Amino acid sequence: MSTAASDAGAAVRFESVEKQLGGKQILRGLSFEVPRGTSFVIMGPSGSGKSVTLKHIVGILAPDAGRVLVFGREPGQLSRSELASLRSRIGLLFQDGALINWMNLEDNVALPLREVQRLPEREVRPRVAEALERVHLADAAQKMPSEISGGMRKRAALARAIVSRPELLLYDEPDAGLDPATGGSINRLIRRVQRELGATGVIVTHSRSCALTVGDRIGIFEQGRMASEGTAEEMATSSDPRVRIYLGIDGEATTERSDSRGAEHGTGATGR
Amino acid sequence: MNLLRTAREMLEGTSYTLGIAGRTALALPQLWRRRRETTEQCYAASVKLIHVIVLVGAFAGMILSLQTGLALADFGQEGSIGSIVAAAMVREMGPFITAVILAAAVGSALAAELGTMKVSDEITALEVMSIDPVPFLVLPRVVALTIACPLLAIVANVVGIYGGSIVAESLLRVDPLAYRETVYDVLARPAELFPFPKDIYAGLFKATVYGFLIAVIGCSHGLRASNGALGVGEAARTAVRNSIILVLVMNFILTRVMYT
Repeated sequence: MSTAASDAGAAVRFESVEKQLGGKQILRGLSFEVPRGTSFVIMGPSGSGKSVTLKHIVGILAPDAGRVLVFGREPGQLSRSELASLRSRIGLLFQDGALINWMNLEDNVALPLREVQRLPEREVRPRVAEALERVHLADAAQKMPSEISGGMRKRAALARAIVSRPELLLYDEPDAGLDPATGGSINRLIRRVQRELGATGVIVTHSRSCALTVGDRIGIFEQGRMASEGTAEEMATSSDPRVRIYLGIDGEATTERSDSRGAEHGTGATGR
Repeated sequence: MNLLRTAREMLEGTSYTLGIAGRTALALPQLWRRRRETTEQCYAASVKLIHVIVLVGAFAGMILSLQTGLALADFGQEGSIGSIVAAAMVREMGPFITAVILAAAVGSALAAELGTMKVSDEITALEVMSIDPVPFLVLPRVVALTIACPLLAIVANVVGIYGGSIVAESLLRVDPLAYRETVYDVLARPAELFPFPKDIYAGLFKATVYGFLIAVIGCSHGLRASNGALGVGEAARTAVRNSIILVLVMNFILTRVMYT
């Protein structure tokens, strides 16, 4: 593998990516880069290609033209086993959690360790316990996904995404469908987990609160292109009308970043 | 144009289902890792359905006995009811009614279960984690049903023949001992190849094939589900329809191969 040399660059890099799905042009020359260890938020109207972008990163979709590089490798060009080894470095948090509904939380979180890494049970258990502890679900380990709230399901899914200690974490609308307090606690939890793991993050969201809490940089997609990009601070004070529309900017937004550290415990209970 | 599209969709569906069947066969070495799930699925498909099989099997035998008995009585041949009921149950009715019940009760549930997983992104989540859904989800279900179907067919055969004997004795005044003897006569007939009663193993072989078909079709329709709750309903409906059709077609082919 030539990963050693190419790994030094960005974790994720899109180079003029084009993609057509069902006769509709979704991505039109999309280019952006996510440096290692940073969090990149993707915003924009529905149908602008945000989720499709995530699918390109995990290799579910391959570009029609242009290149997608993840840790220097092109997911769409890899063999089955190479793709598996690349995916083992990536964790994906689905919009509704996508927990396996007939397994309890503990077994769900253990899935990547048992099925992919094939670790012995004595190594699986402490790591699952640690991941559940990180998302404050240690005492719900035996519960089934149908027995818990939406916020808890998201946190359990986050535990499953981080249990294999991925270097890149992808989030598809992490606070969608949650009340503002629960959504806020999820966002702060994501920010803390990102920092603790030192992982790179790509977050697709419609929520200003999520973008400003979690993102180091924010990109606004429009019609399959990057319409505007900048640091969270730049975007929060931007005069660009497109940015202001999607961020719904007003003065209080930036305060969410300042209290983002260590505040999960206070509001964590609302997610249950 | 519509016909062409339907034909293309059927072809795509068939090749997908064949692919699932092939990949399941290739995943067989992983069965030991999936033993817990396989046992659970086997339990769900057999023990939980046994009362239905007993009820339907008994009535199938009773109807067979009554219909053939009334016809045979016209010729004073009601003494051979046992042989007809036994042959019909073991060769055809037992495996077939078991397959129909399994298609309706388990095949539909498999399609709905995997379909729900598909539309709620659980299958995609497995793929992103590099967990192949075929050994993980399909293999245990297919193996479980392939085992459960012949086991349930045995139950259907036994209660069917017994149900037939009750009707023969109570309504047609056939001596139960004579009924039992004619049953043994038919069933003890050995095959050319094995020193084993042909009707029994041929029927159970059919049931094994039916179980495999129903599970593979149920799983493949579930995995191809799309379009939310509507798609899950559609997957369950087409899975049941297609598996019953295919069981009938396969029944004819297997009968032709094994009995002529």
